[in-house]
Amino acid sequence: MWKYFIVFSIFIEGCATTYPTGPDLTVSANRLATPVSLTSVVSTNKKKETNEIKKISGYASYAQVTDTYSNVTKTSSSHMNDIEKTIFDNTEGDKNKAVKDVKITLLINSYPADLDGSTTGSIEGKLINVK
Amino acid sequence: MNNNYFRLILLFILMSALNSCQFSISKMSFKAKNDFPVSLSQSLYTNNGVLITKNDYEIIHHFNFKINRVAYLPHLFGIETDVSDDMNKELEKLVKEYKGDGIVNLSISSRKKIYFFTGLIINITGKEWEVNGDIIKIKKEV
Repeated sequence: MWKYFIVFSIFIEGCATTYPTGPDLTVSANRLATPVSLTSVVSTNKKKETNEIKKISGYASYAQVTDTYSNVTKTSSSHMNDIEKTIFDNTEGDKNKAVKDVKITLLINSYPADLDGSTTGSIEGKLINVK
Repeated sequence: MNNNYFRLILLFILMSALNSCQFSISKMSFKAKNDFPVSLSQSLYTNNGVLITKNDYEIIHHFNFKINRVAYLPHLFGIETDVSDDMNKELEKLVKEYKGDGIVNLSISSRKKIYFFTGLIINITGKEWEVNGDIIKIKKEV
């Protein structure tokens, strides 16, 4: 009987260690009126003069701890608005400012055993002046 | 106790212990390389440098598609998966199909996808990336 118990224990352990993959996270900035371009269209345009001010980056992270045995999920606070806030703080609602060449990165960490995971979303871009 | 059976159990225990020491990292990045403007926000600049705000366009189609990427090995060194080509092809296809002028409100989400029974050998991290956005048509008077 103990042999079955060992095999069953290994099976449970196998399930538990693969369960954490990090919680879902969305990277967006759809509440902003400032153009946040993923392309370089503004810089290729000949009619408008643009100058690069600085590189900016926004960050959001979300962590989750799940007890796979009792099925209780505890989540940390989400900092989703940080990406939008970073862009808004840098552009200050100025219509002549925009962000271009944005790169989006999503990173999922799975921690050993029952610690579960975290997901981080970030954007990097160039803040520009459009005249 | 059968010797082979004992070895098998020992192997499983060792694999399980090894797996519990792993950190699995799945990293995805995206950068648009299209001819049409793609924006994370409500506004965009056209190729002619005209600022287009939400009053200057109408949304002709809301799209949603998924990209599946699976990391087969423990990503101890943080290997980055660039999904730009996959996503750009899909975006281009959609804009062509709906004859749009650009994309606004683009968002990318990571969706949980769990692979059971894999932890005993290698930590397979299955992840699905969901892309949402709106295809727009710029009003003629702009």
